[in-house]
Amino acid sequence: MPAAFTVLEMSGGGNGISLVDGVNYALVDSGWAPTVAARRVGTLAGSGPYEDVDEEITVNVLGTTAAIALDNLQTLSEILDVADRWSQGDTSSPALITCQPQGSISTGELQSLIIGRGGGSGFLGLPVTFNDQLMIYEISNVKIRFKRRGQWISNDDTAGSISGSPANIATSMSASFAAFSSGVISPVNISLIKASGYKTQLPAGYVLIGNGVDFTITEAESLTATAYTSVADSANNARGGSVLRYTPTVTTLTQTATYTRTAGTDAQQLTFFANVRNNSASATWIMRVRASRLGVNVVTPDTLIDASTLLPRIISLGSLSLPSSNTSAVTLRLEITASTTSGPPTLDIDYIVAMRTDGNYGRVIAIDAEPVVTASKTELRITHRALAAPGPLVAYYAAGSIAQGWRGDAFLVMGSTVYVAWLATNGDAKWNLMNAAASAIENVTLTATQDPAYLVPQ
Amino acid sequence: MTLHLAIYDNPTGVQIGEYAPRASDLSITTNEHGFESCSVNLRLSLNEAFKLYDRPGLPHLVITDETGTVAWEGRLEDVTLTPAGVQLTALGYWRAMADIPYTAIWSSTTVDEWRPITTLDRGAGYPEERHSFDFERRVLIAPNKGTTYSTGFVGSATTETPSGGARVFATFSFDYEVLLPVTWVVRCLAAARDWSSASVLWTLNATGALQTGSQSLTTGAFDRLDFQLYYNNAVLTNHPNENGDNYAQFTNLRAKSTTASTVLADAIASALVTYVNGINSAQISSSAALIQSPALDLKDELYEDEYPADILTRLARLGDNQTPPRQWEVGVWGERRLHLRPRGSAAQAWYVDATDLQLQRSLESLTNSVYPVYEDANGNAVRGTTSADSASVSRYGLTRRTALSVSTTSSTQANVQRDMLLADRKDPLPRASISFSAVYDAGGVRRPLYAIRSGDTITIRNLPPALSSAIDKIRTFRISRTDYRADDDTISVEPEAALPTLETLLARQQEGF
Repeated sequence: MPAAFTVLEMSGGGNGISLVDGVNYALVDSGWAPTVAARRVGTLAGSGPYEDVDEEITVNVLGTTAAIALDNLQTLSEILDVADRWSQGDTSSPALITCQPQGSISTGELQSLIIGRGGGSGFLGLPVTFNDQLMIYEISNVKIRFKRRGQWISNDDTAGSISGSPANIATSMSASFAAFSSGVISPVNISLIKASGYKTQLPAGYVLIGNGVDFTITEAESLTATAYTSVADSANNARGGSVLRYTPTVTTLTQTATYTRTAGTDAQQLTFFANVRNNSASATWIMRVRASRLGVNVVTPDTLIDASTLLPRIISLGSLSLPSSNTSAVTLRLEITASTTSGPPTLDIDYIVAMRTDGNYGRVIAIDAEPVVTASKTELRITHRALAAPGPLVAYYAAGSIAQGWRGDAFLVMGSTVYVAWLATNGDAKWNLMNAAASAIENVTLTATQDPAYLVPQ
Repeated sequence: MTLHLAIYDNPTGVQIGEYAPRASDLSITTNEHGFESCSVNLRLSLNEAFKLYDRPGLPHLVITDETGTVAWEGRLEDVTLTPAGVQLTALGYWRAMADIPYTAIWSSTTVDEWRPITTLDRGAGYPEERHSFDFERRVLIAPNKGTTYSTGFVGSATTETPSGGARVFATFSFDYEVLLPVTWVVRCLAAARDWSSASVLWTLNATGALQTGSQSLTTGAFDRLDFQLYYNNAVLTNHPNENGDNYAQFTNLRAKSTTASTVLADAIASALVTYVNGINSAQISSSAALIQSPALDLKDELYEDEYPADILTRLARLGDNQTPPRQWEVGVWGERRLHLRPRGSAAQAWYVDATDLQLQRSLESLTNSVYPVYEDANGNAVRGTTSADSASVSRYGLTRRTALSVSTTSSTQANVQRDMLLADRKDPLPRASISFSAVYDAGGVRRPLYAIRSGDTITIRNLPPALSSAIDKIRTFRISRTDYRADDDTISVEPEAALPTLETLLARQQEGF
């Protein structure tokens, strides 16, 4: 049912006020023209895709006595002072503005984070006639100026559906949200849950997040060719039970067999990852991906696989661009150059991931290895914190957040479906992320929530 | 595309924090040596600011894009507290090659470092006044007429590795010519710097007749090489022959600190990586996998208190053994790995539509007519034949002539240098300032501006068809430096000024190529 009255509230530091209750505050006629955010031009991550905007709201501060009116003015200034202190990092409690226009049918009110002072001479502008009307318990034309995040975000989360628990952690999982009319892409929180707990010291990895069918995971052992053989390694829980082994006879470039990526045929930029193991303590390898579409051949930059570890690791192979096509699949293969044939050394590859990253299709979060043993975690969370903090958070969760080093833009904004894959090894000889007892591969469950976002109050 | 900013306590350590939402005025630059600088302001509380300011160690700053690719990384060198937080300046890991000076000899073919051993060096048994020495393109030791000799008086010349050097001699080769009466002995020794130990590498007993030959010796790990000449009889004996009739002469010398037959830039680069990594292990990766070989044998490489950065820059400038020689590049990009490779071999090609273009043509550096000035065999100045580029004269409507002084007596060599100067200056590059707002890769896909790096090439698509080669010179150019600003997503690029071919030629000539 449509909202009977307009809601316009400010809160912070334990205080909450309504600017339209007519008892303590009243919006003056033409007192507020909501600012509509534009797309952010700057490229620094973590603040969402829309610019922060300045707002100016003009209210009359009221009371049943002059003292109450002045006290209401003080309360308003305290909320704005909380915003000021929060923007300077002196407090973790933010200030919010909440809005729902009269007649709105959205199920939740919209909120925006107040991140600092707006243009002009400060948060609060008092008129020169500040005390002229106190005899009627009114302070007129008080200007409230602040800067807020560009998007209005509904406080009624839209929960995503929960996908099944895959047998391999490196699996494309998806969650869909109920459609809503906003064409503005909305922030998403993601949780990768293992209810019985992850191992106590998790290795580095990548979380891939996409809008559509954006990534494909290919078993490398299907790419046999000269010097490339399929080798069983279920003992180390290789994905699919086997790996592709390269045993070089030359130190020049060699190629695997090809494979075809049929999904996302209109993708123009692909980013690649691989799970590899260098079985030599001295040999190094140069690896790249060659892609072909419509007769155009391109390669990723050379990636060096050094001899720093004999354990499986996830590596990024970089990106390449392809001609656009709506129908033509992409043919892919690996190309590898060995530094020596003495030994001979061998290089194993478990799987290859191709992810679409042109436009806003894909996002990669690189997760650092945990430096120390921590409590057994049950979740890996990526939260946008658009209404709570200056930036997003990537953290493991065990009855509380365990801050985790990461790289990438964790302020995720997605459409109606989000696809997620977690690429991680176990930090030892195992190819897959194992449970704490190392007795079985981790099965994780994806949950995602989306907070509908708007550029204008709804 | 967005950029994430994180700081770690060291390049392989723990993340201190991620700061992109609080960052402003982020600028990242690249140059010919890789990631150059990053400056950024962070809005932090005083407590948070001091965590960065008052911190031991050298933090690592990394900027990552949405594909998980490192867009910039370096070491956080400068932290300035400001009223709003901190201002940070990080510099790329090429800086690590300028932290520790390096002293070592790799190869020497000159006699500049040879000298006589004196009584002050080794006592009365080495009287330099009893012998004659010459170090003009040779090492020569000779007895003097009317001087008495015995085993107690040795004429000796010596050279040594630089004091405090990182390397010792490994091989020594020379040609010899000896004309001495019987009973005289000539030797070559390797010794400790203070002669506390020594090894005789070669002995020649004189026969009275001219003796010539070559030697290629393994020295063992010593800091000093000596040539010795002595009369092998304990009884003092007068030398009756005229000065100059008897001598021991050594030419075509080459002392190396490696047993490899050649001294290559990649070996030096790998050694410098090991050297720097051995002192500051967290700065440069120990991997030499990205170091390629220019395959030029470097004959004279002696470094005394030089920074590896300067050494490597010079080595890259020498080019390689291709005809014509390719320019090389040296630097540090991702993973803190030093690379040495042909310039542009890892470059990306970008395509832009210029939104603003300023070109300035000037005659300031124009030279379209050159004559060499060199010397004949008698030392008289000779002004050689003038060579002019008629196309340049016609285009600019002017003959601008330069006299080029050349240190040679060969007219052929003089003309080679004349022609190289003419090629460099007959068509000067216009000064250009180019602005663009979008960049596309070879696949036609729009890419973020910060992906452009030094060494990449840019082609401007919307210039008019080639009206002259001057236009072509700016249509496609290699980038020498980039400066990207995240706040407004803009980039400025500086075209690379081609290294004048004459400068390269002269540098290679000094090396003997």
